[in-house]
Amino acid sequence: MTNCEECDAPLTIPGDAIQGEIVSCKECGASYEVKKDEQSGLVTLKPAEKEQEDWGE
Amino acid sequence: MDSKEISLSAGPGPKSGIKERMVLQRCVSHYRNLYSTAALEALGHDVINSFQTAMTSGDKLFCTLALAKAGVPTPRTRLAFTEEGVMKSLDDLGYPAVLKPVVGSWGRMAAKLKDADFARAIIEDREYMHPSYQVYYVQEYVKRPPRDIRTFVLGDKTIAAIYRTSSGDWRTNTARGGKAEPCKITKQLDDISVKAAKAVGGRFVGVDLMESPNGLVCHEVNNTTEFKNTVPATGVDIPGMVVDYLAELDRR
Repeated sequence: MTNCEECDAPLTIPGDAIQGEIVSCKECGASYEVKKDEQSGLVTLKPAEKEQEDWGE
Repeated sequence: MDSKEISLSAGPGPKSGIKERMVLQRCVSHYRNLYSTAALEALGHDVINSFQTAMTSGDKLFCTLALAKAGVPTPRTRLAFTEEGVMKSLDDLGYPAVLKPVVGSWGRMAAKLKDADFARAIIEDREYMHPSYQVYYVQEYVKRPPRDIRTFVLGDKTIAAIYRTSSGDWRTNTARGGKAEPCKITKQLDDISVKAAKAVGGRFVGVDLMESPNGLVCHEVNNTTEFKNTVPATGVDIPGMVVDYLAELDRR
């Protein structure tokens, strides 16, 4: 179980989560990116990048 | 390949680590997109869209110039670098007019200039920003219905089109809450879309059009077009068609 860095609410990682998927905290909406270790298969979350000025189409 | 983890050789050096020749560029960051495309092409990949296309369509002024050169109707647009230049541009274009950053998306920092005082206030703000924000791209405000059209061109065909209807905001970007509704692909719409795509050398692009009183005008071509709102609105399997297109190119 991992807790949100912003509000400390527990974060749930969906069982079928894939590498790079964005998971949001149900309490405060903070975004996290799913990281999957290729060798161990261990799934962790890290804060997702925030929108930058040059993001878009 | 995740742009956050990229370490690419610039020039001669080890391969990119991607086995396939074809690469579909999907990075939402303009600069990461542009520079990684350049490096990947130098390492022998065929990137969709190409560096040249990313350069041209990623900058609103370069894109407008390319469209105009190819004979695609565009809104009247002027370039200026100072308040004096912008005010001259506005004398020509009239009010309201639209000021957009040359690099930027999702309608970010696009301003509808209602009068000269408002224009001066906006320019004063921009003077404190990065020099790229002092490249003033000033465009006529097209009298259009409260919507614009986004078409998706793949190869030499328009495969999908939506109306983007604004909800309370003059900008219609779906990233700003604009709603996507299906739009019929007429021959006229297909022709102008394909012509706009070819103007920037795009192989998979999103073309933005407005219904002006004088007919369709193209105001933008997007080289890394998003489709998450278009697929449910139109039922067109855009990602599936793109993958098939890439596979076909790879066989050639």
